[in-house]
Amino acid sequence: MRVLRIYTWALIAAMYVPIGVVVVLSFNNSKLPYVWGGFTLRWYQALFGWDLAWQAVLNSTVIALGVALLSTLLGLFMAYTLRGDRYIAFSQGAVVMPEVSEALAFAAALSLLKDYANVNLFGPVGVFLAHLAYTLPMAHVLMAPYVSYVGRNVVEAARILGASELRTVLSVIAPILFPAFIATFLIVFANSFDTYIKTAFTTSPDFITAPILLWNYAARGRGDPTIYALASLMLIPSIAAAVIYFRAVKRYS
Amino acid sequence: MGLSVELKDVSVQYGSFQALKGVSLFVEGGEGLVLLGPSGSGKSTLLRTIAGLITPTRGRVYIGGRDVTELPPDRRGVSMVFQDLALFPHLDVFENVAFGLRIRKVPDDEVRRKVRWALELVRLDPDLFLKRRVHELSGGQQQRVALARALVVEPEVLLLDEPFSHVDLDIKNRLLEELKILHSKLGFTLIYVTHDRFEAVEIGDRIALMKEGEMVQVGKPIELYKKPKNRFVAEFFGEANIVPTSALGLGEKGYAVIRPEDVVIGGNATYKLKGQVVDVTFLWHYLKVEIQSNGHIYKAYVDLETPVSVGDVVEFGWDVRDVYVVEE
Amino acid sequence: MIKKVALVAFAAVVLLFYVPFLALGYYMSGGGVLKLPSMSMLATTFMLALVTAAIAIALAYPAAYYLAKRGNELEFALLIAPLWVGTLLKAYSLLVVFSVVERITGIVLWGTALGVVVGMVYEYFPYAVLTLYAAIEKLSETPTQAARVLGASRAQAFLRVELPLTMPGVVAAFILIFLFAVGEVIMPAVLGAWKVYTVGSYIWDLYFKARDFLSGSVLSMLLAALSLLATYVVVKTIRSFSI
Ligand SMILES: Nc1ncnc2c1ncn2[C@@H]1O[C@H](COP(=O)(O)OP(=O)(O)OP(=O)(O)O)[C@@H](O)[C@H]1O
Ligand SMILES: [Mg+2]
Repeated sequence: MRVLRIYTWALIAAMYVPIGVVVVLSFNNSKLPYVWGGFTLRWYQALFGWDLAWQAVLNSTVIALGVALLSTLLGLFMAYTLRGDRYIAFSQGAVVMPEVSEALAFAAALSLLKDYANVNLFGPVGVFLAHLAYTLPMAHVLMAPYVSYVGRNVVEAARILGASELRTVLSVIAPILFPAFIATFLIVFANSFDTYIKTAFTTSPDFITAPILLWNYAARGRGDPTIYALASLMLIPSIAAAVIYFRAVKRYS
Repeated sequence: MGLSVELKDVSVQYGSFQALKGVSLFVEGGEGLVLLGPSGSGKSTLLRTIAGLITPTRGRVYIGGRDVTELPPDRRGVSMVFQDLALFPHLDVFENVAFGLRIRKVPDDEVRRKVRWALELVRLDPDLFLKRRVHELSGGQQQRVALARALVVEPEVLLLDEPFSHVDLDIKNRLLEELKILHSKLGFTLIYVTHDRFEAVEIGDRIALMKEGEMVQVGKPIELYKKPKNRFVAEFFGEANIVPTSALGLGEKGYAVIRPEDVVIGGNATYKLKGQVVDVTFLWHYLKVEIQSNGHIYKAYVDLETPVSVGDVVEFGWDVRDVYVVEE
Repeated sequence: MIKKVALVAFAAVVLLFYVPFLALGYYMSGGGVLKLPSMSMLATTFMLALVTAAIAIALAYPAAYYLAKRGNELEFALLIAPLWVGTLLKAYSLLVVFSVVERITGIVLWGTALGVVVGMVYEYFPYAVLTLYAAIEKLSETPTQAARVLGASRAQAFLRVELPLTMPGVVAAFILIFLFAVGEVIMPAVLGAWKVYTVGSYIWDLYFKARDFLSGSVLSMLLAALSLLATYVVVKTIRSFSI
């Protein structure tokens, strides 16, 4: 076990090295990653003056919030009422589907709409729907295991005691599933915020999200310290999400 | 012939909870010893310590006179049937039983022969069961497979942790019979855990009674019954009337233990009391009568023909030589 | 009421997720010149996905084993937290690390298959940990102890009892990662510099560069069918192992 412990910590260290490097370089007063030019905040200053980046982050946040809220709520309802194997199979199938296939299918559907119905949804609406198409089944699958914590008898007891269906949901089911709701929300939010492929296939040139911005730099293989600064800042909500996630999930252990 | 097993002052700790408190025990080679005690008294813990699945915080364990305290379980030459059986769910009956042989690199044809032999020992028809998965077996069949798996390696010491707790009384009695025959035929040392005193006397040459991590009394069943060390033994190992000695004028401290079968109603007794019958229960070959007297309820086992009914005021008593006094 | 909302949501899953595949079918029925990917591209894609899944699982198994048996919350949280770090962010930071490594050791990772594998393992490793952890944590202690008492050493007990009993988890993790990796676009593009060319990149180019819906549709459909088949296999194997 001691060997395994050391091994585990070595893995942990290895996983955080690349992220750490980016954070360190965001304070590096040199454009070359392998030259330390002293400490500086100028990349952060540059970042704060860069409106396009902030617009992209804002766009991503709005889409992810909407998608996450809607799909977690509906995912909860689905997990709670549709307990049959058939339903969950549909959602599981969606979750493991390679992202390009699904993104291309969605883009194809949007182009058909555009060509034949003259409705152009490419842009924010297309992005929103494309994200929702994936996060909805994902939330369903993630919620399903937690639903078993709500015993049927608890619900029946509440109904017999005179609570209406809505009342039962609000005062019995919601408190039990609240941590699961938060945990699922965080995963779904992160997924939507992070996804590049689906967005790329369904957006229009004037609607930019954070991953699109990152891609434009990353795909050219160029290091840019301003992007390092943006990446470092984006780590903060990531870490916060991870911490909250563990707090929430721990309630069920 | 089986090897002897000895524990010297063994203590086991789970976190801050002390599950065994300095237990000593000697089991002779080939003997059948039953570890008896209420739930949570540390029987499984003791058995696991002998098997090497738990390392004691203090004390030594000897098998065949050799100190095995530091030895891992695979090198102790013991075999065990677990409380929850622990059959391998990914293997069929044949491979379950063959497991220990495969580990010992026994050649294939011998494995086949021995597995058949072991299954026949526990009265499972090899032709019917060899290829079954373990979850396709009934509880009693699973327990037999677990027993066969433990026996097939021909252990010097066989440890059984409530192996027949999940079957009905009939099957349990049959399995106990078979185990007894196997024990005398194969000669291994047998240590058998149970919390059931009826099961205990079926199988044990001697009985070791445990309570709250301590060894309370070790001896032949008749010793524990006739000469219990304290109230706990008297009550746990058989039915007993336990009365403070002061109430019977037998001294200030201690308790008198009177077995219900020694209590007579209306007949010859050297110590006599008067009381009212509060309950009569038919128990196949005797009647259990409860008599209230001086604020105590006395139990008496009497002949089916005894003319008593609830409400009768009767004279009852016992021979003073049948009274056994314990200190605590 | 809730049931109705749930049914509407389920209808939305079908409508938003599965119905668009009909649009692919429409483009396929339109006909045209089918430009199939080359054999070597297919081979590269499958090899990358297989190797990624194998390495991720091999790396994750001991850690998941440790977590399930002795691990504390901090260790678990630290191993899983990278799930919240964006894929592109990871790709980007590896890009930087690669350039530093190249400068210092002369080993070129950017634009090589090795670099892409490192990236994909980095990305999918937490999924392997999660899936394997769930499988190992479910293991009851006693079959292993039974094996030990029957004479198996620690290693033998692991190989003959624990590993087979956690195999469903390994299979599930393998298929999950394989599917994610087989359609991967980001890592081959960013870390492979489009030199390591995969089916994912090809579909990408068919849409964004060639505007060839037909070939893209056929390939996407094949990938989709593959993943549904794999899911079915996972569900089957896991069912048959349960007691
Ligand atoms: N792994 C463990 N961690 C902490 N405490 C434990 C553990 N195993 C057993 N105990 C405690 O140690 C005491 C003895 O347990 P043990 O299993 O030996 O009892 P037992 O006599 O076999 O009981 P039973 O007849 O119910 O099987 C119990 O109080 C139990 O709660
Ligand atoms: Mg026990």
